[in-house]
Amino acid sequence: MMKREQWGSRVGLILAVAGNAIGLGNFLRFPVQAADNGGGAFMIPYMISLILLGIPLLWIEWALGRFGSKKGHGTAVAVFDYLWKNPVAKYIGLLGVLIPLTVVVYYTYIESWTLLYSFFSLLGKLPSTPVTENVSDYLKPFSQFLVEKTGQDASGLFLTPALETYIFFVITLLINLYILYRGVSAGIEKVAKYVMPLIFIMAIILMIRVFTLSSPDGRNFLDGLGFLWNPDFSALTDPKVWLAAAGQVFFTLSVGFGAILTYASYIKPKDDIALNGIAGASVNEFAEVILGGSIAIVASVIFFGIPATAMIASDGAFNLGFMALPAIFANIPYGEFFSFLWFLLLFFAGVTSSIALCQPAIAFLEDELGFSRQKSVLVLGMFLFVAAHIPIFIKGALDEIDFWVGTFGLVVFALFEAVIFFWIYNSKEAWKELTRDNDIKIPDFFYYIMKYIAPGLLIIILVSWSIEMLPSQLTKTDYGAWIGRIFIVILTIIGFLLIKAAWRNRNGRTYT
Amino acid sequence: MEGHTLNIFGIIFMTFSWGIVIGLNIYSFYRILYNNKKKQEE
Repeated sequence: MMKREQWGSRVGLILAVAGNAIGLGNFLRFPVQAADNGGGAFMIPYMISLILLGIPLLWIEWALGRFGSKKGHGTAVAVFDYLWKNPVAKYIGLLGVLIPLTVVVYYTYIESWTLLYSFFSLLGKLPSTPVTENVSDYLKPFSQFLVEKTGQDASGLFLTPALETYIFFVITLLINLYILYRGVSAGIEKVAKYVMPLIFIMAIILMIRVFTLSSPDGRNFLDGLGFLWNPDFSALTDPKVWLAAAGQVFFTLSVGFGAILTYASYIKPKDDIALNGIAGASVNEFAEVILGGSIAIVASVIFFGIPATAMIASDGAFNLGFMALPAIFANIPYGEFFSFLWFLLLFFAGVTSSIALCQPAIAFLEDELGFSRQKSVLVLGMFLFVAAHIPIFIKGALDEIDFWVGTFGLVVFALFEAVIFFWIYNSKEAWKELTRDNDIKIPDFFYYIMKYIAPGLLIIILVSWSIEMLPSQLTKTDYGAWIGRIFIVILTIIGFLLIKAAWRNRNGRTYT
Repeated sequence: MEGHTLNIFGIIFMTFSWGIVIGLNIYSFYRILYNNKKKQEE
């Protein structure tokens, strides 16, 4: 067996893990979710979900990764196979490779938009228009710009993105592949050490700029913060608000992707996971609650007012980031520079997440098929380049893949992680594995949370999402949706065949 | 969401949330530095 890579330093590991968690969602999804679901009162279910769902699942994934490190494997494929003496276990573990791999197919493309916007901001090529009374009219050029660049106005099956969009996608993909090619310590860790402080510096600069904005009719940052934080206590009686908080915590910590498991497999078998897990989560929460909650939505309230911001946010977090923010920056002094900073911040946040999402596939190719890192990155690069043409050019495919993999699949995989570790393997052994060699003691009550409450909450989320979203999703019959579904099925079949080949060739480890 | 400018409840919720997040960061990084120092001394 080849010697596996290891992290060079503890700070590098924590920054890399935090970089995995900090993504576009911290700066766009969180403020919209909070404002839509009771403002400050949202933080009550949010903090409770953090303790009952987020942190326990995070520790479970860290523990599974450290367990894999002991055995020389970095994906759920082999880890599940060790924990559950059943031939089906490794195929379920494939979710921990396929989910991040499939998400990265379209995530890299969206990430490339942020690079394109950043570059265009610097050149002063983003739309620039005088402020009008009607917010919808004012936002129209910014909306048209996004539609034109991504080709979403095409009438048929095929999208027609601009050439520069495609070029920026290729550049983004190459940047990601180069970082992965350099390896865990010299690539991912090094990038995290430089980029994470930059993300925080850029976010703080933007936050200060937003806090010094004011509108002609007297709105300032206190109005923006009021929109986000003034509590609406009646929201607490609405189950949807609790589900939204649980969903946000789940997404922001990036649990259920399998990427934390893979990152944790590069620590030494006797290293701490409890403190590392908390430290990574703390950095992520700083980026979300403090920085994410103080930029986009606050700026939008100051500039457009509360009713217009509520309208923009109700159309999705994306509109806030890609339309409202550039529209604001277009009309403030040195706006081009702040627009450049905003999109570069999103790009850096995206890169640190996409390299984490690629790593489980690299680990699978290296650990189970015996590929070298170079060969693994080459195979991954060719796959991503070809596969990305589906979300780039097929209308409706991105949303379909995102629903099944990036939303539903995450919860299913997280549920498998908790159930296999605490119910099928052995809950006492799992707890022993989780609590050994740590720098801080995990409180005993987390045993019950991990065994009963966290899986229970995941089942509730899964059932409620199934009732709410599945009927409309399953009735989609357009070609784009079918192409997305077929893509997922083909990828799963290829994954099964690769596992079969790996276990037949004894590259992988199986029980005896 | 109610009202316009940040009210007293908003300030309480914001201060509480920011406090937890900042506290968690200080605690975790203090423990990491403390453990590193302890390991170096051993």
